[in-house]
Amino acid sequence: MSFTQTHHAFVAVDEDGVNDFVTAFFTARPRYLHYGSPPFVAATGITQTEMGAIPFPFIPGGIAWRVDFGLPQIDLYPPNGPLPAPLTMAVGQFSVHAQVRLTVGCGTLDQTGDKGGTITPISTTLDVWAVGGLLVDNFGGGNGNLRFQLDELEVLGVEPESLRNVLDCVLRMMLQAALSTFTLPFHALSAGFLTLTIEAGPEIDNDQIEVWGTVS
Amino acid sequence: MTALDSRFLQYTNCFGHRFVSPGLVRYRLSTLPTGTGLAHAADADVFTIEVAAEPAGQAAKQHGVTVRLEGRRLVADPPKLRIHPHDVVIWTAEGAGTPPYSVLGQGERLAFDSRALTAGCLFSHPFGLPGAVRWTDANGSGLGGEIVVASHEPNVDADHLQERLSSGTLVTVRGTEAQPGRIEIFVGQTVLWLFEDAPGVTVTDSRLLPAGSGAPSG
Amino acid sequence: MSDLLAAIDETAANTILHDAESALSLPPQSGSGSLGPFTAAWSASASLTGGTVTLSAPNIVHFTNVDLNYSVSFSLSIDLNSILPDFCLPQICIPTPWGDICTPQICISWPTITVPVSHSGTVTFSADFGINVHLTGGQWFVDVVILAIPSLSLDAEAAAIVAALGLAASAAMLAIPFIGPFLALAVAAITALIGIAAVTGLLGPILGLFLDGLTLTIYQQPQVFEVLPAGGPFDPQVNVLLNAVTADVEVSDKNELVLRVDV
Repeated sequence: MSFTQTHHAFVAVDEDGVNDFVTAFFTARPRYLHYGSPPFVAATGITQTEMGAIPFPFIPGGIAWRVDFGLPQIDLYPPNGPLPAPLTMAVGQFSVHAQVRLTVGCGTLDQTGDKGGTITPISTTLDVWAVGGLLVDNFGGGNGNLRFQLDELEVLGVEPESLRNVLDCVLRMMLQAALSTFTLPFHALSAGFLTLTIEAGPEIDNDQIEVWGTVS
Repeated sequence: MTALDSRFLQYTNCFGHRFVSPGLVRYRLSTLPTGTGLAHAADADVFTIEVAAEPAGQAAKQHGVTVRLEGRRLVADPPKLRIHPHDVVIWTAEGAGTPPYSVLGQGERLAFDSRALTAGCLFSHPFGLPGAVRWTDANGSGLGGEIVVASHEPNVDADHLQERLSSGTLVTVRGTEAQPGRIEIFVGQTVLWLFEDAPGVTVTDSRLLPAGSGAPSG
Repeated sequence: MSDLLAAIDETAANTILHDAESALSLPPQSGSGSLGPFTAAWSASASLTGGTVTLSAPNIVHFTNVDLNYSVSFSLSIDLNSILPDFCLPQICIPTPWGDICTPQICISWPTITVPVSHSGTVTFSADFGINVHLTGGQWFVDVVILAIPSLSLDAEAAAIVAALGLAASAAMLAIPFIGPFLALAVAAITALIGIAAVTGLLGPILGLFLDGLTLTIYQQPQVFEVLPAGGPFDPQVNVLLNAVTADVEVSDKNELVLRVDV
């Protein structure tokens, strides 16, 4: 069976290739994996992104926080191993596994106001798994991007279930936000070989992203 | 290469002079368009024509002098001539390698210069290209005429061609009048100008002159 | 399994190869050679258009009916003394009042003329190309390289050049004094001495210079490949290193040119 089938051109990126692009992206721009508020992150730079503290009444400066994602590892359908229940992966889906460390500045408040409180960072590191599918931004003329959209996320090793559900939701939003910064331009799919006008795909199957089309 | 201009004698041209009076005539050959005549010429560059006192018993004769390049010098061969009154001397270049030249001569009773033709001079030119040529005097006397040169028929045979080329046409100059003023010839045919009287003129293709020059000076 | 795979069928291969043709800039050539008994300096330029691509194993790209569009200029030096008979203006004697004046016989020395000829034409050829992948100067290239110089049918082109040479020689000789009666003879002699075979014998190697090692680049990318351009002071350019590139023709239900890249 030909690669191009009923089309004239075919491009595939296997999961190693996808992870190479992911690694290249987050290595060049690590600030999209590292977020936090002062004093943990003083200012936005290449390595981290400064956000505001979580405001809360009578906590001067709010609650300091920091979120650090490990490098996400993407697995394209079919799965390379079992996913944590209840996650399942179907044709057209990918899974992503990452570690996330959540840090808050735990403050001791001086009620007398004679002296300032102290902030002690406390952290937890969690394993998160998620599944999702691809989104396509097609600008025409062979130009466009692939993006990764999360559908479900599971945090491992958290009890009770209600806490896990809270974390599942919060971390899905956070990881989705982090992943949304990563785009895979069409031209990169063939390492610049083709200007591809997509006719079919992208599909995720055979551990790769597959796209068919014509050469423009 | 073979432009019509008597100021620069080329290998297809002939320059001649008819010597009437006896005496020694010295002349030199020059490649310069202008010159100082004989006064500053080295002895080696001066050639002579001795015109005997008495005329020859028979009709006037024609003598030939070949002009050739020897190193960087133009020499006359023979360098010395002895002739009789009314004889004609014709100078011709040895070949295509001889640079354009002029002949400047002076005797006790005459002077001649191929760049300014006067009484007794001759100049011949074969025409190599078809077309009409208006010739004029570059020195501005107003002398001039027209020569229409026709191509040969494409199928002209060699004998006929040779016969045609063996005939020439004479143009006689008296003062600033040339007769005939207009002639028609074929390519390769020769025209001979004979100057019975002339105020120091040239025979020059008018196309070689700047516009407006060659007209009567007054 | 490679990280990236791109496959094109013959339809897309035609598009890619024609793009490569358009991008191809064949360097102009010049030299000198013999045209019959004469020496000609020449300069030539060429470009490729058209053609149909088919693919076959093992790694052969067939390019059929490609137009090699060329312009060639010859500058031919011809010593007319070598082709024209000796010619002398005969001695003429003209009756004058001073007696008959005779000019000597004057033999004409024919000059060496320069005949410039320019000719543009198109030669159609077909050839097989191989695939050559190489990393040169930090750039990955996938080239298709002609395997052998095809034979070119040049007789019609050569005949046109001979005719043009005749016209150009005629024009060059029109300004030569006294040649009039010999002009047709000279043109005939020049064209006969050169002949179609001589032109073919020179034109073939000239055009062969453009075809020798003819290379069409269908892929050229820096080894450090830019995935995303810089997006601001905190978002530098994103690059990947292309570690290995391969290209081959694979045959299944379709013949495809397949490029594999390891990142």
